[in-house]
Amino acid sequence: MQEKRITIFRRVFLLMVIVSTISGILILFVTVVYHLNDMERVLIQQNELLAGIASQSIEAGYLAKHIPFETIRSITESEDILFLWVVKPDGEVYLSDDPEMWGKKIKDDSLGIGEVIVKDSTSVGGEEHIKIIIHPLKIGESEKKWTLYLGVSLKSLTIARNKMIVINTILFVLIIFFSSIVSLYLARSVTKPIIELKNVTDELAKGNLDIRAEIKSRDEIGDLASAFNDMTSDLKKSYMHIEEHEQALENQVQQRTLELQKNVKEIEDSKQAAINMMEDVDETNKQLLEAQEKLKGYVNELESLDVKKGEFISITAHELKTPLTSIKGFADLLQNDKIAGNAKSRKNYLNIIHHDAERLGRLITDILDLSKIDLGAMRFEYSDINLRDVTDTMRNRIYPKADEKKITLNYEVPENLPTITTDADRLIQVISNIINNAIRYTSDNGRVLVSVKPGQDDFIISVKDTGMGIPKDQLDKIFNRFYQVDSSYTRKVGGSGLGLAISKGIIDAMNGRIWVESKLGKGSTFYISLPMKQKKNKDGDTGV
Amino acid sequence: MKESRIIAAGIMVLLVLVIIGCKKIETGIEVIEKEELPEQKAGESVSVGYGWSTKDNPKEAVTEAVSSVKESLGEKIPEYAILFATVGYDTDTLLKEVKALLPATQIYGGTSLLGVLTKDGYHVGETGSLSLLAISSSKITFGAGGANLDDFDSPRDAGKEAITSAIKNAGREGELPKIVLITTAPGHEEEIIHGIENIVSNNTPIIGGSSADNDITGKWKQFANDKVYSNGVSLTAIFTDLKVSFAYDAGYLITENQGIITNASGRVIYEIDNNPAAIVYNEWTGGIISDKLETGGSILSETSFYPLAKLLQAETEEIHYLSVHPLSVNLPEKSLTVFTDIEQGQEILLMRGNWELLLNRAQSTSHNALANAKIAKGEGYFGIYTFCAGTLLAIPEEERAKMTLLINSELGGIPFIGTFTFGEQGFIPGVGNMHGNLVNSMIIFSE
Repeated sequence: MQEKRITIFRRVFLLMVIVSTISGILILFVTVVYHLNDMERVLIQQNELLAGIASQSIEAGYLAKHIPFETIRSITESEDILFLWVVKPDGEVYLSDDPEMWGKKIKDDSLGIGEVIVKDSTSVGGEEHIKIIIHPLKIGESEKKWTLYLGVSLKSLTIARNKMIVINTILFVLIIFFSSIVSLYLARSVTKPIIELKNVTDELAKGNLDIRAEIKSRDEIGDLASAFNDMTSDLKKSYMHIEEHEQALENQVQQRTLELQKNVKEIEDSKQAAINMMEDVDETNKQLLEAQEKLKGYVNELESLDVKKGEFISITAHELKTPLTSIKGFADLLQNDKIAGNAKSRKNYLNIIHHDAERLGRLITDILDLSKIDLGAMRFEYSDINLRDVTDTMRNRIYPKADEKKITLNYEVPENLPTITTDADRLIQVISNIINNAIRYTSDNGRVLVSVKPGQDDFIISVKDTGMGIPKDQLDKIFNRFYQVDSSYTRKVGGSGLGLAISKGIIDAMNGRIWVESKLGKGSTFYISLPMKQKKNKDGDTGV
Repeated sequence: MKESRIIAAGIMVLLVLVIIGCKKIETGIEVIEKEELPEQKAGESVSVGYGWSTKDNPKEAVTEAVSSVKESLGEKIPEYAILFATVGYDTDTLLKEVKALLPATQIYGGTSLLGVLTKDGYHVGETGSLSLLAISSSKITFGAGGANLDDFDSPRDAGKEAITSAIKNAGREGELPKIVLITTAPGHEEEIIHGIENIVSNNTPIIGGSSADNDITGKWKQFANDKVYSNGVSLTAIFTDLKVSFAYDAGYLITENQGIITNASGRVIYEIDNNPAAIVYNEWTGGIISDKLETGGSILSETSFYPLAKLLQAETEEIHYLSVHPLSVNLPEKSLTVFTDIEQGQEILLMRGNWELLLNRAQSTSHNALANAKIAKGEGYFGIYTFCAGTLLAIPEEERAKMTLLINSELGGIPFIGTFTFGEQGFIPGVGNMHGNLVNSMIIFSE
């Protein structure tokens, strides 16, 4: 926001008016106060004298039984006197100019005082500020003195003050008026040459270097004008020099400009060529980056496969070594004649060796299956089959194991199931694996329910158990190789840890989907979704 | 801005000056209302009631005054009442109303100049004012009587008749009253006094005044029971064993200007020391009637402060001064008419005074009345005050109310009644009953 502009003229004028106004008010105030105080002092002195005269008259009159009414009247007739009381020591008004006051009593600390005092007070109505002159009277023989009260009005002072204020105010207004005129003249005389100088400056600012200030006053402003004129002459000379230099510079600039334009054109051509080259480089870089990215992907994939392979080999070697160690151990024992001579031990050890050999065989089969899956070398033989046949086969094959653990194995298979095209052995392998897992992970006397639900284009087989359930954070890991939910329990229930990985590999190869839903402690439900019809190749096989 | 700072500084300076100029006012005097002067307790033998009114209607005025009287007297019926009233009222109506309200009461009184006095103050009404003082007493016997001067060959005879009827009304024929109160029409006071003295002897004080009006036009009246006289005399013969004390004073100061009446007739002084009386008087007074020497006419107001005085020598060789009020200058002989009878050969002198002296008389005369019978302040039953109308007019109007205050302060607040008269009658011991001017008198009744 722009600050309000205050001209020198206004400033000088206002200052002079303000100073004269304040001075006028001060003079008015001081004059009134001084004169009032003086008048009050004189008034009190006069009335103290009157009180003295009245006191003497009253004292004499009291002795002569003659009240000086005339004296009292002449005193109280004065406009300044409000009342005159002669008061006995007990406060009774013995005598007063006002008949109403006779016999009244007053209470006052100054009653009976032995000296003349002046008190501030108010009139009976309380509306007027008055003075009371209290004068002792030599009446009576009592130690307590009679007292004269003379009420003095200050109205005359008020009137005088008002008159003084009016007169002084008129004088004040006149002084302000004339001082304003003088201030105006002075302010103008001070600012006029400045304004002229300012106008000359404006002209100069517009470029008129021939302008000169016509101020002849012999004061600071005149000196300033003279200096200004000198400055203007110098400025004109300088300006002419500048013009010459400016012309020379302009010529140089024109020449340089032409050269510059030529250089610029050359630069622009070079720049265009560089841009084209840069665009080619960019394209090549882009392709290189893409190739690099692909290569990185391959490398990562290979690295991942290599890691997986390493892990797989490590785990596989470990898993294979366990039964082999058992077989070797017990075979070593059987080489001992003493042990071999014991038929019961021999039979027991041979059973263990047989069991571990079978386990080893299954493990190798599973590893082979996984290798096939990984290599896409697993072969599928698709044929039209009835799904019920699959379930019936399953029922017969699994039942003994379920019965062994007193697990109720139920099937919910609709009567009229459609014919499907699939690899029945691989399907049975997968379902068996899942049902075996369900029985394995379900406690004795539990329940396992196998359901089949045919759809339009696919069907879903579900296996629900009342087993231990799978923790939620492990649901997506159970299809990994050698992954088992709980190691201690797994050891108890057995299993290689490859079944679900194989099952998932088979189902994925058959364009299906396998997943699990589980609640920990309640049980799990495995779902297998497969298309109704698998595409047969010419010789009736398909592979991955 | 610098201007703002200068203005602010200026305002601050002014504020400081204003604050310095203000002074705190303190008051320390408290005025307590006047304690009522104690009612004079009437003894068992003397009951006094008084009242006054300034109501415009005479009937209402009387009713108000009588109500006050009855309030003081209670069940007692006054045997006697003094009525003073101004001529603004129809006096016939006044007396009729008083008689109607106090039918068994004897009435005595007359008219007064401008106003009347009681213990309560100086009463002046728009139309008129009246005062009433009534007494019921087994120790005082009052007999009021009057006579119309026009009904008799001489004022002396009227005086005789009036006192005779008064004594008769008191039921004390053949006895001398202790004091006689008199209210008479101005003009023949000396003759009337002589008539009264013919009946009661010149040792019986005859005290009172000449009834007045407001403008000396003869509207004055005298009241005697149910009679109102315009040119009559009203008297009260009082029989009592109580103290009856009185004072009859002028209060003026004597001067060295003294002479002998060398030519006089009735109430006209023709010559003093064989010179025209008006010229002599003018010289004595320093020329206060110079104008009237050429024009003649009334000098009543000019002479109030400069009365003449008869020199009276008592049997005890004591000199008394009986003031005489000059009324007018008569041309061409430049004689003086006065308010009393003047005898040739009478020694006369000039007195002087001022309104202050005249006002102070209210106190000094009351004091003298008490002192003459050694009555203590506040121990009287009631008082009767007579004050010269001329001197009343000489006192500034605002000061007149102080008469009551002075009397109250001296008498101690007993009831009294006062009137302003055109001549005062009184008793000077060793001299006898006199008629004077510019005098005031006080009568006090006491145990």
